[in-house]
Amino acid sequence: MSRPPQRLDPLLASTNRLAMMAVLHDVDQVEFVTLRDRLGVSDSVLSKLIGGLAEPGYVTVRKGVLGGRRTTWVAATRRGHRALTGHVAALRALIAHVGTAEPERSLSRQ
Amino acid sequence: MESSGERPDRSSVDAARAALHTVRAEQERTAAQIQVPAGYDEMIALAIGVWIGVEGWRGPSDRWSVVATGLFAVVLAWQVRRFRERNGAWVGGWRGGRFAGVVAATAVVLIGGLILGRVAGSHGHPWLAVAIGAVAGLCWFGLSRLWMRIYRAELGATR
Repeated sequence: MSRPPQRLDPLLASTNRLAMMAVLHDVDQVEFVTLRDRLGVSDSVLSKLIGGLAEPGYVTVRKGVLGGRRTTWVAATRRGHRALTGHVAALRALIAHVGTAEPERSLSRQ
Repeated sequence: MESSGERPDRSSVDAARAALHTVRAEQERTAAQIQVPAGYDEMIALAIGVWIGVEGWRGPSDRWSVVATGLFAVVLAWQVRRFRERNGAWVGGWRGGRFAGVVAATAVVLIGGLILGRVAGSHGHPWLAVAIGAVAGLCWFGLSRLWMRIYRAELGATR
C-alpha cells in the first residue's frame, strides 16, 4: 500500500511562520529576543506568530530567565515538528511533480 | 500553493522553491550561529573526571561521593546556563537518528566509568579510579565534539 501524499500545511504558508518553525525544528528552545532578531520582526509581530502557532499546538511557550532578565522560551512540539517535516515533503513533491526536484536535505528529527 | 492531484502551475512551483529556500537558509543560519562557549566541553570533562576519580577514594563514607556528584551537577548547570546565554537557545543531546550512537556511547562512558571507578577503589586501587576518570573525561570531550560535528553536518553547514 502506498503512503498518502503529503499535504501542504496552510498554517505554514506564511514565510515568517515557516521560518520560525524551521528555526525551532533545529533547536530545542529559543529565547524570545533571539528569535525576534533572527526573524527580523517586531515584538508584536513575533507575539502574533507565536500565538498563531501555539493555538494549533505547534509551539509551546514558557517563562524563564536569561542573563538575569525575565524572558520567554519558545519550543516546537512534536506536532509542530511533524507538521514542518510533512510540509517540506509536500513542497518537494510539488516541485518533483514538474520534474525539477530540489536536492534532498535532511529534516529528520525524532 | 496547491498540492492537489492536478499538475501545479509555474507560480506554485516557484512559491514552493522559495519556501524550501527559506527552510534551508534557516538551517544554515542555525548551524552557523550555534556556538559552544569557550571552555564548555573542558569544564564538563574535568567535572566528570573528578566525579569518577573520587569514587576510588570514597572509603567507608559516601560523603565525598555526594560532594563530587553535587560538584558535577553544579558545573553542568553552570555550563548549560552559559550555553543558553551565549546562543539564546538550547540544543539538547537527544535528537535520534545519527545522534543515537553518540548519546549511547556517552551513557556507557559515564555509567561504566562510575562503576569501574568504584570497583577500582573497593579493590584498593584509588589511583586507577583517577585514571579511569581522566579517560572518561577525555571520552566525553571527544563525544561532545563529535555530536556537534554531526549537528552541523545535519544542518548542511559548510564549516
